[in-house]
Amino acid sequence: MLLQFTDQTQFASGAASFYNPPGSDDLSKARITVAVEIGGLITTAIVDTGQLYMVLSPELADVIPLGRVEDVGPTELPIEGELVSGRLHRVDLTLFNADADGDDLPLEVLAFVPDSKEPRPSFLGLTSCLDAIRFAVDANSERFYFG
Amino acid sequence: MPNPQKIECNEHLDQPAGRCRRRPLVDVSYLTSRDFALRVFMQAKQYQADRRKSQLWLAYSAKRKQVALASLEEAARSRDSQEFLVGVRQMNWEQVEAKDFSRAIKSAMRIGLPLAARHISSFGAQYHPHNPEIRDYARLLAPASAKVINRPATSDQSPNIAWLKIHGAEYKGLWVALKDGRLLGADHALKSLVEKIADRTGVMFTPAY
Repeated sequence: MLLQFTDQTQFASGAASFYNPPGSDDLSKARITVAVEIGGLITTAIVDTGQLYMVLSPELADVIPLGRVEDVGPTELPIEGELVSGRLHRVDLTLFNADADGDDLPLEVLAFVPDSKEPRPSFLGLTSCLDAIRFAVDANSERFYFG
Repeated sequence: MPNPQKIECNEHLDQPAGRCRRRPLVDVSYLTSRDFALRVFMQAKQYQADRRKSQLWLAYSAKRKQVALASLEEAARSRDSQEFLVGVRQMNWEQVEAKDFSRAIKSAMRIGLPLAARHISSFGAQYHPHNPEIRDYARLLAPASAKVINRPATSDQSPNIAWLKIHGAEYKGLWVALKDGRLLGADHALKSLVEKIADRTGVMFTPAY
């Protein structure tokens, strides 16, 4: 069932299951990992509201069509405590719904692609990504609500 | 001696009376030729004074704009984000040229102020709507947006998420291809894994954590 405001209007238009990486009892490593479609490819991304933009895994950026590189000069972004240089793109992102009553949510977001090919996961940051929607997390049932 | 009848309006001095449809600015018919000459002379002096004032103002504005832009760039060079934001707030963006907008946007991005860059690019698009570079910046840095509301669910990825919960740790460090909760393949490189899977409809490619 999707979330509603007290006046019965919809808060969320969809909900997805998420998971924490298994085998880790370290709470500092707890992560909300959700299924998404980025540039036509289904993959996973980690919700990180402390992050700017969506950060694309460099390997993923190699296999999806990104269009032309948008040049706003050298852009640096702190990712997990490390300053990383890269480029910005506008990309299509879809959040998949897993609720019987819900819908998928397609978005156009700002994505940062690191120059370095070092393997790293994709992140859904707040600015220019999740700030376009409402979202909520139910940690007990591992549900990520969006709308 | 100038003919007062010809002075119908200040913009059409050479036209015969009655040809210009604008109303006369001043009724000069009662003036003597001496008064008329004096009046023209005074108006010319006033025009010169106004012109000089506006030239001085333009020069002052240009100088101020250059100083403001220089202080923005100085703040960016010294990575002083507070100073940069103060500069952005104080800048009269209406007078800024397109190339200076580009520089300011790049400076904001360089010191990690994407919201300031967005702010500047939206001003740029407002004052230079036909400049393609500024338009691109404004589009790139615009807030994220929902493209369609109420798009029916196309693919339930819960079975794949469930698979990752159970088996993710076994494949840690690898990319895995999953469909309907089944493993289709695993590889160290995503590119080669994607090439191995011919039909990618509904297939999730994800690093296993």
